[in-house]
Amino acid sequence: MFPVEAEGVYMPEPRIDLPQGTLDLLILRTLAFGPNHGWAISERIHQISSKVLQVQQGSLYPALHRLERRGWIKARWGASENNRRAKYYELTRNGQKQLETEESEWKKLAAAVAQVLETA
Amino acid sequence: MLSDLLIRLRALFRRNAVESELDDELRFHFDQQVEKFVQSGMPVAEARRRARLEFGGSDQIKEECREARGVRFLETLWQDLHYGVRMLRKNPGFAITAVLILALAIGANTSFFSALYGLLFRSLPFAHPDRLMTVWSLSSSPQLKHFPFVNSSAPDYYDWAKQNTVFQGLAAMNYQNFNLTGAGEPLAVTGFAVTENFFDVLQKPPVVGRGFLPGEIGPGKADVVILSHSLWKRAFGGRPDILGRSVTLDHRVYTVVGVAPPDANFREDFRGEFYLPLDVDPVQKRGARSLEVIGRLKPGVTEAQALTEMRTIAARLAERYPDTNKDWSVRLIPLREHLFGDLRWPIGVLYAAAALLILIACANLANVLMVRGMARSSEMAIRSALGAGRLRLCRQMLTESLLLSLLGGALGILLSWWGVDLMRVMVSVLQRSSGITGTAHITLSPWSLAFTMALSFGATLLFGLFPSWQASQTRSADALRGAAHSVGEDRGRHRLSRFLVVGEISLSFVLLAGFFLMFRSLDHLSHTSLGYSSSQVLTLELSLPSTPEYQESRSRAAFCHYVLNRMQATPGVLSAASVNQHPLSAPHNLMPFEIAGRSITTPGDHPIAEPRTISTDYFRTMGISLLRGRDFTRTDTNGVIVDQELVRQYFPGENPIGRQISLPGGYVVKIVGVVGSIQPPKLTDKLPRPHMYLSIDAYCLPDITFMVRTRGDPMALAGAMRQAIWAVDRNLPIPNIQPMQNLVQDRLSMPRLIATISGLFAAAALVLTMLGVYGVMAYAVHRQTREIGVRTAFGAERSDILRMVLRKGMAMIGIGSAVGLVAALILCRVLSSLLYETSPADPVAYGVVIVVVAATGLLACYVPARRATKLDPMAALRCE
Repeated sequence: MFPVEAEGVYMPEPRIDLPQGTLDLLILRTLAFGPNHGWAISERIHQISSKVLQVQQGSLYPALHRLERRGWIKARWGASENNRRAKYYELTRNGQKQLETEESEWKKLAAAVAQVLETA
Repeated sequence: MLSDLLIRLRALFRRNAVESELDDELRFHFDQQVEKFVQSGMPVAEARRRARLEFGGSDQIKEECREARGVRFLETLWQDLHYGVRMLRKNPGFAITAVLILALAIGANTSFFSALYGLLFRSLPFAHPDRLMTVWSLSSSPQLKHFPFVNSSAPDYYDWAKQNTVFQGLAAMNYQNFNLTGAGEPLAVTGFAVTENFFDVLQKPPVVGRGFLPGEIGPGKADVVILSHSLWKRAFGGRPDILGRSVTLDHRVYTVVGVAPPDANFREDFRGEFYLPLDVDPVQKRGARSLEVIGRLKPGVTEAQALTEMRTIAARLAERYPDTNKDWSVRLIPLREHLFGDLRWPIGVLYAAAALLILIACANLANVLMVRGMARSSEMAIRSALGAGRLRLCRQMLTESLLLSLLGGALGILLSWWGVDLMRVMVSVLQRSSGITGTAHITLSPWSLAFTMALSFGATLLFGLFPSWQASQTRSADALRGAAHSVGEDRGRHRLSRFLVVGEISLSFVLLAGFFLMFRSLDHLSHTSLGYSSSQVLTLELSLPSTPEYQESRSRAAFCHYVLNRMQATPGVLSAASVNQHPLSAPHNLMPFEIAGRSITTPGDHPIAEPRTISTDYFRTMGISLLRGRDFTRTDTNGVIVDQELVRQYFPGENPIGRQISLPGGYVVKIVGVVGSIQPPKLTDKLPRPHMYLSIDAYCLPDITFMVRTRGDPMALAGAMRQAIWAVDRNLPIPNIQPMQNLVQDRLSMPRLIATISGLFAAAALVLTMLGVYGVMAYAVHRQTREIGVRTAFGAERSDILRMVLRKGMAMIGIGSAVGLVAALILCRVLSSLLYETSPADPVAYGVVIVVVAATGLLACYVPARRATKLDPMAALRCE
């Protein structure tokens, strides 16, 4: 479970809990655009979700390390835009496959949930 | 997956690199965030504050990242171990106590288990050993009812073997001493005479050659011999062409027809070097019971069935031959019981002692861990408040307990090795003194080690979890607030640990009682007069060969006199005498006799005595007092000297001097003297038996023991005495030369050993228990620091405080002792067969135990009590 916060003032409650594995999917999807470092990943998710989702560092970094251990992403050190040493993550071939399966599964799930919500 | 493993390994072995990378990564993120806020127009300070707020605890993130990388398990284990070692080193007293308790428990228990295994559960070296039965004659006549193992006569064996349907085979055996000559030093060897089916019954066929054939048995047949495996190896180098060679035994030549297997011997106390065919002639004397009989039951036949049939046969024989067999029946004893029966009691008792010690050790361990747990309750509370999960705390405690277990286990294994060696020595001494076969191989039994270790580890882990369990039970806020928390709970725990200590006290009371009873018994034994004086007496045992020169009793007697003259002429010898068996060797046979002028009302109901044939001066040499009449003279060929016990049994209130006695074979002898009784050789035979002494000039047996009383150390004259014998016959082997004192010591070796070992156990138990008492009292004082402070502040004297603490401790000791006393009175009854002239309820022993427990208990309480009186009231009040 990954606590996600709405933008704005620091508020511990209420939290929207992303379903298990959703953060992983978001990270993989973000990295599909190309290698990036942790801060950029969180910023990107924040922007693309129209500032609805903000990934907390406490969730982001453990997730990155877990994905790295599973061999879906790999890390290397590189220079950031402002020329600082930053750790860049990029998708591996396995990660690419994983992204595809997870994406299609998510879409199926979302469609199914939407259908239930609309018809019920 | 490979990447998984690589990442884990890197995280583990390049920990610093991985950690600093993690630091860099998070710092970069933080800086980016700050920059973002600054760019959106925030002041730098505010931006940093905001970013930090958002960031949350960076340590927590790191921790979660570590977990995500999958190294946390190993890393935490490492951390826990590290922390555990630190905690143990910080509190070495606790660590050493716990490790020692564990080691002692494992070591003691493993050695006893291993010994028991070796002795009781080891299989005998025979196929289906449970079907092997030893068969004995059993008489219900009052004179013989104290002899449980009476051999059988050849005609009886013959009829048993012919008539029974329960045994696959019934073999008989006799043993004889021979002198093996012609191969260097003359060797005194024991040989077995066995029936031809002997090897079949044991199911141990000869390894070379063959067994005996039916035709080979009987007088006038060719002299054939089967060598024992060890003689074959030793004297003939194990050469395979041994068959057909000849050996000379007592100057008679025998042809070798076979070699017995190495472990065909079930009587290792009579180490047989060869086997001769046994002549079982049904016309031999039925009353001459000298054969040992062993049989193998048919498959499916039970011991009870066999006994019923054998008794029927015996009853038939008793009816048919009333002169010799009236009142005689049969007794069956499984071979295993015959071999190990005597050991079962002492070993069982010692094993029980080990079990009690384990109980004490476990109780103590529980207490130590629990007291320690209480002392750590605030540490646990703090850790819990700082966010340590319950599982995490449990794991920490488990790791610490595991560490203790490993240390204790390692030391315990060392102790076990040593203990098993000790047991091996002990068992061999036990076996020597009780004369039973030495087929027990005591080795460290891995199963028992595993079992004991599992038991002690279980106890450690269980009670080691106590602090973390406690931490999860108490609300941390309460615990942090200090001693005021949950007094009731704490008191409950304290009560449990006091209960454990009371239990320990009772158990050690039982052990101590057992030890002191043994000690009293040993004391009685060593101060009981044997009826003779054994100090400064040298014994030389030999047996004359059945060669023509020693064929006659007269020539054997002459040999004795020649040797005795030479011995007496040696400076340093006070007196010397010969006897067929020294007083500590079990009699080979019993002599039935009739008293002139008294008719035997029932046939077979003869008076019975242990006969000894002696030279003049035997009584003076042995220090046996002559009560009436006189010693033998050289012309006494028809005199007999009886002992006090014989007079008590058969001539009560009469003067036996001058009375006539008729012995088997038609000898009529006259009582010329009465001497003091002697104690029987075996400790299990508690009463003296009637003895009868005949002069060697009347009849001299080939077994001869020279007894020499010396002025100084008897062994100093051993060489001269041997020369005195060899001056008369250079060819005689003298297998046994030793001081009589050694034999007396050997007789006491078993009780001494049992007393020593039980003493060790009792001492260990006492030390453990008093440690426990000390621990509980010290903790009680610690808990009451505030109360003591208040009391002192209100004017309580030091003596009041001392009394208050001591009263509490001594109440514990008192209850424990009372329970222990009752338990010991019940449990120590099992010792009665091991006690000599000591009641299992011996008041002196129990008195001493009470004093010992009270005194050591007082000491264990006094140290913490004294510390309580030294408390500074102000400091005591401030301590919380």
